[in-house]
Amino acid sequence: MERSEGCPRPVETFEHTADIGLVIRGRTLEALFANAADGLVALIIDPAGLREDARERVSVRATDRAALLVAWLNELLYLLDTRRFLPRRCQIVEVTDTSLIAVLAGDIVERDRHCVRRMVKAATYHGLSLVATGDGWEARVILDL
Amino acid sequence: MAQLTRILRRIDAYRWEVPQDYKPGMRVPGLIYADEALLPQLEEDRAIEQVANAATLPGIVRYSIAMPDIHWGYGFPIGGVAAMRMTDGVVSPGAVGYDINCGVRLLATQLSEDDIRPHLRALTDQLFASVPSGVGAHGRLRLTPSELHEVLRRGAAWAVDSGMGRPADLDRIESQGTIPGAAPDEVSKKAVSRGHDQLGTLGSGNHFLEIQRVDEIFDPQIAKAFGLQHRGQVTVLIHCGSRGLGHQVCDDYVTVCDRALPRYGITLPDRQLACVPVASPEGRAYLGAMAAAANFAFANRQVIMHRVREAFAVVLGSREAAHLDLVYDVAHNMAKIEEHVVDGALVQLCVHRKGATRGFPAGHPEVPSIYRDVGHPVLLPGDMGRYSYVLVGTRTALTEAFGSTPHGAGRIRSRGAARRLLRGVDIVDALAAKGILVRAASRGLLAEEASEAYKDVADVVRVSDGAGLTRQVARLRPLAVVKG
Repeated sequence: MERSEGCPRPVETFEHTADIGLVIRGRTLEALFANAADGLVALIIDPAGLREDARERVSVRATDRAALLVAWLNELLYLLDTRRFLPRRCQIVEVTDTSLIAVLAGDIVERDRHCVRRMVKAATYHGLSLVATGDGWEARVILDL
Repeated sequence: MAQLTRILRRIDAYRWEVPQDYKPGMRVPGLIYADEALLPQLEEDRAIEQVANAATLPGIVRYSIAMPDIHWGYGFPIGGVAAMRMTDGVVSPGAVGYDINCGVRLLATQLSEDDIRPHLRALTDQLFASVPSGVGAHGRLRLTPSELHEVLRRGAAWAVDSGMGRPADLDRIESQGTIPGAAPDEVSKKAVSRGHDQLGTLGSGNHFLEIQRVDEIFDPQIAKAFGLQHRGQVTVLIHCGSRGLGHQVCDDYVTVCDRALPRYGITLPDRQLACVPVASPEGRAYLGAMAAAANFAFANRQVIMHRVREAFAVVLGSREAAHLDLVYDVAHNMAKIEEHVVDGALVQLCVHRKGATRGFPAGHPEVPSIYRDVGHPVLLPGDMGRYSYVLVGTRTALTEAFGSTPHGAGRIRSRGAARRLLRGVDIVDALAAKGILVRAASRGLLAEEASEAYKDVADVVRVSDGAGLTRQVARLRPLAVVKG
């Protein structure tokens, strides 16, 4: 699992009246995108219950880095809807300003085996940002619940 | 409140204007329907900014409107209405929302509360089993590609022709349950793959299926026309939308519009408002895909209603006892092409309603003939601990707000704030103490949907009626709730 080193909190939530926001950090872009996936998964399910029996490969493209983050998270939601798959661990193989390739190890969601939390409809462009910081990268994204 | 009164110009007790010079780029003022009791809630979130941002959209007519249930959304405010000229206006997928045709459907039974109380737990359990909800849920139907194509094209009519409902149901659904001009081919393969096994499922979050009783009748004549006969009559309310298929359509077209902005020379204060000219190829494609997703939602609520009818028959043991009539089905996330009078002339507009309901009054040609004398029902679900309302729209709503009305209670607390407030409270037990049964797929998160998270919908109705947008017809109270 990609985790940033030295950044105290890779993912935090922030309040929104109807929905929920994520602040995501990473020392590298790869770490940020992996942490974003972790943050999304933790909203949906207790990740401790996820095995690593299933594999998926993801490739997304977008016009810029921030849009790439939205596309990445929405691709994970697509996998959940169509294959009941959620990643326990994401290896970001390649990330550029406009594209990402990742290999995911995860589980198929089963209601009687997993502690399911909430559904997420989509990652949105509202209040979206992805910027370089002194410690690496930081992103903000609001999710429609 | 002091900050708000510096920004807003009071028109009357129920109307507040966001001046056009409040923010650069506003093409029209904002109009917020609220009273002084509701206004402080607006100060605590960013809804006013979003009303102002919506007013920057090209081609917007008259006002960027906010209904009394307004709250901060993602880009466009929840409770927002914006009508655009077809000639030079834009269509914005974000101003419809990810849950295209999220809406509400009300059924009326011939039963009273005393008839149903002995069976309430069994009914609730049967409904929970028959209408899957929550993460990972899928329906009993597995549609082939050609079947799904027909669902997208025909909506609720497909479900009726497939044996799930009565032909007469279609007269009691907005747009007869089929949005014309649906273009299934403009729906991506990804969206199709999400939808093929989701018909008949509820979703999660604030979606629900509720058994209710008529608690109060305010207008007996209109209530009778709607089939709401007496206090204690049992009703059923269904709230859900287009599920993953709709979410994907919105995501696909927000991306299309975001990429197209430079080509059309459009700049926006919020990226989520991404839009294209209505008349552009992208705009036509989105409207065709949106209509298809809307039809999916109409079909979804039709299939769920069929499951509700089946559940009642199973538990009550007789089809007669289980007779449920559809009262009406309304959408509250949609863009519709409608004709409205603007500056004395009849003009075709693209009306975006996100968390707002179409409420056409008596005599309007788009009101079904069965309700033409009174106007069609407007359904306002409240939170699961209080009540919901049935209203009717008015000519004031038609002339002032493009025939728009509120859609529900509107949130006042974030999910985190609701969980913290209700820490240690078992919501299921608390509701049981009020005589309300709850079956939830995710019991631990019920606090996020508790009454404390929402405005009192009675306050929304007070303002809506006070402004002359609606007239209240009946109030319904929950007996049992099924949630994802």
